[in-house]
Amino acid sequence: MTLIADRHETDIDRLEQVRQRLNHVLKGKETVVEQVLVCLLAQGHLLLEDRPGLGKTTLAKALAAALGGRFSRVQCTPDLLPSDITGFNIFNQKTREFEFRQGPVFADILLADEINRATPRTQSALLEAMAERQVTVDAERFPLAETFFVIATQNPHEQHGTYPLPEAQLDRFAMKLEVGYPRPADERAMLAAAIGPPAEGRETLPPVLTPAQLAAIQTDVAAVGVAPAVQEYLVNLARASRSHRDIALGVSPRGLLLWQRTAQARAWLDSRRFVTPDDVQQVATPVLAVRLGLESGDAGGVIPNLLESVEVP
Amino acid sequence: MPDDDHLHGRAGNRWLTIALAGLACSAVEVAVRGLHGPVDQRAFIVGVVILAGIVITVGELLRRTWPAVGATPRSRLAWVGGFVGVAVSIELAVRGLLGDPLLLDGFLLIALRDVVIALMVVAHHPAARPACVGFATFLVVFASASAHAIWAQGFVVAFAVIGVCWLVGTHWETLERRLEASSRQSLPRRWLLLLPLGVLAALLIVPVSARQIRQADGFMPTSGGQRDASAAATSGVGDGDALVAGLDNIRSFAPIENAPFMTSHEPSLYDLFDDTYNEPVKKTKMERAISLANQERIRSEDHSMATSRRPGREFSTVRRAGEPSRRRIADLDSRAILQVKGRVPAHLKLESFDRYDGVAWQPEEMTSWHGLDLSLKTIGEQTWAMVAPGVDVEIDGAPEVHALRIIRFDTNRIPAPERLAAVHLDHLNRTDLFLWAQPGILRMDREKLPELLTVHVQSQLVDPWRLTESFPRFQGGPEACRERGDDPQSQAVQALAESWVAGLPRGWRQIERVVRRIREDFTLDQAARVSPDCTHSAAEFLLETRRGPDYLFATATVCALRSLGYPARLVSGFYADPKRYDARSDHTAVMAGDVHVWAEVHAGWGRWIPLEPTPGYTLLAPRHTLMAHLAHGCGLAVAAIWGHPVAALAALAILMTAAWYRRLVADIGDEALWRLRSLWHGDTMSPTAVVSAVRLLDRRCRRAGLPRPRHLTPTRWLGIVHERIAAVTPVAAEPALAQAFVRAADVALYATTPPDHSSLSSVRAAPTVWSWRHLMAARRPSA
Repeated sequence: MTLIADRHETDIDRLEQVRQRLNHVLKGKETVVEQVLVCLLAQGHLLLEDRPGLGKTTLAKALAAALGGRFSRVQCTPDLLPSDITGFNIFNQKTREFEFRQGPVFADILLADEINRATPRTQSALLEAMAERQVTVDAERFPLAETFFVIATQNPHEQHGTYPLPEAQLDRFAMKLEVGYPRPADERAMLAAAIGPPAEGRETLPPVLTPAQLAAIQTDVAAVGVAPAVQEYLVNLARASRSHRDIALGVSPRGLLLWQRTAQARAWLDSRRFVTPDDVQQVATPVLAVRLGLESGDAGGVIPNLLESVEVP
Repeated sequence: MPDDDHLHGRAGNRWLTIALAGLACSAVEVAVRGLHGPVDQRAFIVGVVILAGIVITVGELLRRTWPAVGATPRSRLAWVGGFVGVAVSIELAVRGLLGDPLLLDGFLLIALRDVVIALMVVAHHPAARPACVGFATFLVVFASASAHAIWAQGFVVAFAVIGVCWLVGTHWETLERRLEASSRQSLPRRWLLLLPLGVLAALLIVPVSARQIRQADGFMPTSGGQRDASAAATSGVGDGDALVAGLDNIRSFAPIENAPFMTSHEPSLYDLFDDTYNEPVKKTKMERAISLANQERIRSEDHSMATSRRPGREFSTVRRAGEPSRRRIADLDSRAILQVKGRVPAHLKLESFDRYDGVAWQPEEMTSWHGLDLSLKTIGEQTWAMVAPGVDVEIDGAPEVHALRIIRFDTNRIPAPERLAAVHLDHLNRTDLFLWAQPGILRMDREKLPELLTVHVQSQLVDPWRLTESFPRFQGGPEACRERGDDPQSQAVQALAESWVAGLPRGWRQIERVVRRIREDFTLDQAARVSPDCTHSAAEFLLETRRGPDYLFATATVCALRSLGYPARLVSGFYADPKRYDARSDHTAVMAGDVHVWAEVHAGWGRWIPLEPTPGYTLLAPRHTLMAHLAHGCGLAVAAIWGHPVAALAALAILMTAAWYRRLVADIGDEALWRLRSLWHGDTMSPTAVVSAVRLLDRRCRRAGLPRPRHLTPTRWLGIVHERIAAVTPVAAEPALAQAFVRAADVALYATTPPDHSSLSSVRAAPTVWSWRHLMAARRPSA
């Protein structure tokens, strides 16, 4: 019991260091960082939707550096091919055999920048990778890392030359976050820090968490208890979302599973071994924002309204 | 334009709907009240104002507290169904129990009125308004058409004027809402379809049983019949009181004239008494001489000589022991002596007794009472012989009419309940056929009543509500009814009676107390007899045996009352038992064994009040309307307050204080209960203990005006409230305890493992952290 508690303490400390690093690069965005960690621990994938230059890529890179895994990045363009992501077979003249050359998807953290600029065909190449953590090329299956984590970004204001993500793909993301502009004080601090030569050493800091440790934490998160009353609350929320007059597409069973897992992660981060309805509510906005077909397009009013319509246990 | 806004806005339309529904309900009220005679306008206005106040208050409460009620078609259906079910049940129960009958058409009007009231209450939902106004339109037209009062037509005019405004307002509202998404329509749940069945079942079992309803006054009589048959009858088509003569079927027992019947033996009253109570113990002259004073003996002999020509005979309270024999009576085909149509129980008086020598009662003599004149009066098509009312003592309730059919009974006396007011025999328009047998008891001028004779008697019941502490005085009365012995046994009876009424003012309350003590403290045993050598049967019954048949109860009551100075007498006759009521024929059979003895007390001015001291027997109470019940209740309350002003003021102050601090009082009680439960469970830390503390604080927050929003967990809300408390009273907030409790509560509510024992102290301290005082402080705007 003590051993388990100690291990949990150590894990929490490590996560705290990750949080500090992320907070350092993304000033004044503690809530976003918190949700990113929740998403990571819940083994979900993250969609960042915001304007250019708000630090989406910086956040992804800092996370990759802190986790110490392989990091790769794909800049999505309309001419990006599926094989550019998954990898392809190449004929080796020397060995007279085809060799598989891994694409960027073979990483621990994949940053798919401006994902909505890729064609639907390329977007769907990511589907299998995200859902099943594997890639099939020429009928051959290649498993991905256990802690494979996709951070996709998209720009909501570009209309021309974009291909909005289909619902099937959106449902494979655990969360959608908006970074938002920093506060004036944080912007001043950022400007002050930019004076002088570029800070060195940050990039070269050793990772605080290995992929194996992350996998262990993720397993531990999955074991956090959810009382039947809380599960019923989740089901009630899902049912309410399906009959809500402003929601065209309610929460799917897969979405419900992801919602429970993110709530577990939220409880774990709070050093609890059980989920409360508060956890469910705190992750509700990013979890629902990515998967609810909102008619008004504004999740900000509908999700609180949905939460208020269901009584807590 | 503000006026237009007011007219067309939602609130304006709501009030127009309420006004229309109110007009319709008023029209119904006029129509229903009009069934019983002219409408008392003042009572009507008071009733309508009270009803309107209740409806508007309930509507506002619903709108503010449970806005969901009536919002959807399903919810509206449930609300209207539930409301109408409850309202109709109450209406039926009240009218059934108070004997205020209602026609079927009047009943349907009232049910529809309840539908309109239910919809009016939820008229803040625009969707409820059209149905409300639709029903109201039907009601106002139908009710105004059937109302007798001319001024009821004004409702139609007012309804038309307001209705036009309502139509305009609704049209504008519909235009405004055209773009809004239509509400989801769905069929009501299946179980809601069972609601009408439930209402029907309620109708069948409320108020008590069909038998009692019919017995009270018919189960929703139709508009057939005359007013004599039912107060609500409106002389329409139907059977009413025009019963079909049973000429073809000789088994018919209808109380009608000319119905044939098989002749048989006819027991006399005295046979019946002897059969029921066994024959009296015959005493020799010598024995009587020993037991009585000389003077009494002479008078007794005079008495018997004087009464030898009359059918009256003395009634002995000393009778043989053993089971009464009814063999002779039981052999007959039908055991009914007579049939009674009308309200039961009824005490049918046949003979009264005034002198009591300790053993036997002597019949009252006519010499002291000259009888009242009879006069003829035609009511409808019937000629009634009316008894002159004498001095009006103002203790009479509504008159009662009974029809009695004498089946086999050898007497010429007309059995009648209480004070006889009128007698009617078919085709008889003379008064000289009736003679006074005894004071207040009529007989016919012939040897016995003809077989199967139907006698209609109208009598005047005493209204117990008119008997007050100071009125009547219970004075006067025949000398013989005030006699009290001075032997030791009579003195012992007097001492007992005085101990019963100690501290009570002289008057009806003393009499009531005596009757109640005898009813409650003594045992009815029809087989018990006083000892054959008894010299004072009442004293033996009251002081020794404490059990006996009804005549001993009555004798004891009379003796006790006389010893206290109240003139009283013994009365014998029949008791029409409600248990024998036959719903099919609407008659109550009076059997041979229904002979009964009771007491009467003289109120003054020749008016006697019957008393029923025997347990198991009840007196017929006069019918009172609902308004009379209300007025009586108010009168009693006012009298109680007037009699004890200090106590009433104190009670009022306590009530007002309790009402003002009701939430605090409820909270103190709640916490005390919680602490008691905690003590009971001891120091064990269980999830239920923590959860009960959370629920306690949740209720406290609600009472203190900080209700938890339903989408927030109790722990989170307690945290928010604690922050507010800390902002107001930082010292008392105890953040560590509060956090520990919130953690423990989270574990107890949502974890699968039990909470840690170390948080027990925080659970105990939680009601002080979130104390009532702190919550009230946190509620203030500055917090």
